[in-house]
Amino acid sequence: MDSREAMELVDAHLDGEELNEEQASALTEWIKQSPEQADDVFRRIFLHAYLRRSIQVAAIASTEHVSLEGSADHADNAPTDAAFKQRTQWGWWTWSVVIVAILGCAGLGLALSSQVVGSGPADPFVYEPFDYPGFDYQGFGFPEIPDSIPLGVWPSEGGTTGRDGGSGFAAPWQEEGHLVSVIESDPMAHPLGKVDLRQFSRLSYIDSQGAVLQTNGNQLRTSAGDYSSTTRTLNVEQAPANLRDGEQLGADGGTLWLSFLAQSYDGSGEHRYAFLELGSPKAGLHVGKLTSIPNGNWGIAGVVNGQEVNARSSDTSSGESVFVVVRLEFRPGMELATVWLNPNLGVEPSENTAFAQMQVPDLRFDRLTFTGRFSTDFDEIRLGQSYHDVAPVAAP
Amino acid sequence: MADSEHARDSSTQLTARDSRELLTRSWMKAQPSVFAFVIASTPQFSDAEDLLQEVAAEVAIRFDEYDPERPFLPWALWVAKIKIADFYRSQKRERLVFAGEAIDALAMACTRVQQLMSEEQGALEHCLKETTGRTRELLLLRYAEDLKPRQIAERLSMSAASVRVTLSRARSALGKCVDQRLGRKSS
Repeated sequence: MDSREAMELVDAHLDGEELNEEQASALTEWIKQSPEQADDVFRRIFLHAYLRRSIQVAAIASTEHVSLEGSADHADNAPTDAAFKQRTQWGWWTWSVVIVAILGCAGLGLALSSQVVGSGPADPFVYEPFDYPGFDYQGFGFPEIPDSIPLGVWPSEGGTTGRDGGSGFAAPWQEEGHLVSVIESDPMAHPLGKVDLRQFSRLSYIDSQGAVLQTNGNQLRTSAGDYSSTTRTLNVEQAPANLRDGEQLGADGGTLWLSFLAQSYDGSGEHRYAFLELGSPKAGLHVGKLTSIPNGNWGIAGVVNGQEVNARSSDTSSGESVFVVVRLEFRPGMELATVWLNPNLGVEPSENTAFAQMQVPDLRFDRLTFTGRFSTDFDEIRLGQSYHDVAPVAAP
Repeated sequence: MADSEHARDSSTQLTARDSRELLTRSWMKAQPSVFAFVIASTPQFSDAEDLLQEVAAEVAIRFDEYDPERPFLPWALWVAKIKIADFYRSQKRERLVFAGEAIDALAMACTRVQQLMSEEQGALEHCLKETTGRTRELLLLRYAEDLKPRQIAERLSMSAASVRVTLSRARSALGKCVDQRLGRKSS
């Protein structure tokens, strides 16, 4: 048997064809003949595994894009449209996260945060890892593991007020809601209910190639109840000059990248919300779990006179942990927002893998605000001038 | 709590945290190779993906047994072999093609070539983008939709043999492309 014949048998086996006794024995003997031949066979198998996860991820991205944009242009293109719509749930990244969650469930899970070192010259001009002491649930009197989120048991003062870590800010965090957001130091130890989906791991992100987002510190948890509004003013003077428009960010011609991690208690929708707000009620942008998206999936919407407009929902439940990346292009008139969920790290994602691209009101902003009335965790907030600035890969 | 007890608790917590971090990092690095190893025995993607989750859970449960002084991948492959055997027993599936000495040889190959895999993945990403036309269509149907060559043949009104040959050539071409990008001599 030569190499070509051996690879054809490997391919046949991996394509689900049953090899007969003679073929299986011949292949086994060929593998055993030399380490080089065994290596070649394994590389062929690895190629097969790589193609599965790489092409499946591309197909899922394509499906999400097509379904959100509602385009019918690809109706005849079976592999990139209708056919792909049959498989959206178990992409490589999804079950990578599930696997890490399993590790967490076994008490040995994800703890990527504290000692990760940067691997490149990522230089966000705003960065908030929420590296603050965690909220003392026991001291506050929160039930150990309630069946579901208990009503009326949540702090209404303190929270993040006065916390002033991170970089690129002009003032500490300030709580402005009826309730407050808290710092979550160990989500595995603090489920707010038996089905709290955050109890399996800390917020983190591994892309389809196995690259890990650099993370530090703890994470922010919005209130379980109505409502928390947690805000912090940016140091606009230290932001890149091409983004500054007076005392706010948003000069026409500038491009700003923003990223964060997020996961909600579960995927419930209707009137539950928790989002990052940029701009003002008059003209702004909401990214997260939105009032205007009743299915409870992650999404984005513009804000005009206090109302969410042009809302776009993703296919991803807010109960799933996501790495959200937004590119804001400031232009005369409406701005252009492009949003990706779980893009690969390392290389700037292409527009055709974005889950939404939409015009948003002509906005300017000088602060970040997390508003919520349903317990949701946020972390690793980055604003930068490039994708690399907001998607740094942790050192291996 | 007395100070000494507090100190002991903190120390234990730190060790557990280090252990979690070691497991997470080791697993993430090994996962693509373990997946390939699982696929070698379980070509049906849905089965392989389920099995990989079971391997991950077993690795987590048994992590106390792992000696951090030794390489992680061979140990994870040993766990994978146990789970593969369990899977075939419980499912009463057809015989394994790669069994006994063959699977041991593949496990050794997996360990040998693991270091090459990250650079191969980068090259593969480029090479995959260069595929076009019918080849790309077949790859998409095979790997995104998990269709077998016979099913692809029906979908595209081709012969199954033609689909098999085209897929096999595409894989060989990708392998050669990777070798060229990495400046290696094709085998």
